[in-house]
Amino acid sequence: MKREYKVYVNKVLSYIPTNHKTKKKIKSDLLETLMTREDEGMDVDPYEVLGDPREVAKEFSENLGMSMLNGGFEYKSKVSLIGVPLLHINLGRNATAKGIVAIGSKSVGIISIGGISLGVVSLGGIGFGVLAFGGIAAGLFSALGGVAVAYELAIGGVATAKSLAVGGVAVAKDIAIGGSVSASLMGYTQSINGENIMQAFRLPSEKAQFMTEYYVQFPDFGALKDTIIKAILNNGY
Amino acid sequence: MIIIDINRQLKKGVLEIIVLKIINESDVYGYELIKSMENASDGYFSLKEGSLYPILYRLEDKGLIESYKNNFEGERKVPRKYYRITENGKEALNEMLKAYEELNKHVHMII
Repeated sequence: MKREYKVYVNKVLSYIPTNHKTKKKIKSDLLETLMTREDEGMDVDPYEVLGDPREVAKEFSENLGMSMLNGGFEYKSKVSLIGVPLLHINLGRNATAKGIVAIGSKSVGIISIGGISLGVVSLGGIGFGVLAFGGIAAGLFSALGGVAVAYELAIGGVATAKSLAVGGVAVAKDIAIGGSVSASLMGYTQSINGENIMQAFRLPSEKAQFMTEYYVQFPDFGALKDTIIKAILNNGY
Repeated sequence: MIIIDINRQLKKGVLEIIVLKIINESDVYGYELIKSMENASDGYFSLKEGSLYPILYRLEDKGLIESYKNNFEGERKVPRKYYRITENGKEALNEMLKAYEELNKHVHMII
């Protein structure tokens, strides 16, 4: 079998978003088609016989019940909850995925994963959610990302939160821990912003004083945030 | 554009029946099936591989046809994949043909 046949067929397969079993079938059938033409004494150029690999893949995809446009891919699960699909994957350019679990260039869902994502749990280049993770993450409860903004807990290169911020630059109303910090109570390694130096403790040398002040000022800070503070001070600083 | 869409939809509706009918007459391999359809319809049913094989996969998944490999006597080392109709497929084909006749009759009553 000519190597160019395999190269061509593999190229077609790379554009078809389907499972391994179906791909195996398609591979075998396309190779057979090419070899059959060859058996008939034809000089077979796969591109001439079958056409552009993307077009071949598009036709397969459409007839297999999939959508594949502009190199994108869309899948909606048949199972849905109040009209919302359990899983929606939509990877076309500017396409939006909407599902209980949504994965897409843009995504909206309970669990949302995308370039720009909005969800209860959101993971994205830019992520908005109750729990948000991303390059830029904005979370109602918590955010973890390059730039993280949240009400309760933000962890990131630049982190800002009402309650607890941890990061290279950390800004919070209550507690900030990091390199350069600003908050009511601060644990810092490099610098502080503001004049509240009585509430600023250099880490790790003043870790004990920081914790004492923490217990006095925030006796009911919440189990999760308490655990995070302890973990950071015990392991990070 | 509308004409092309209608053509495509009408063809799509009968493709499974046509494919099953041809396989019912004799075991065929993919390319042979494409040629048979093309020849028997004076080129009207000119299918591409991307349209034919998904039909074959669906018919196979439903248990209406099955495939088997047959060694080709020639230089080629890879065996050829043939499709044959199953007993369920024969029954289904009869039902499909009846349904098609019924549809045809009633469409003609109106048009």
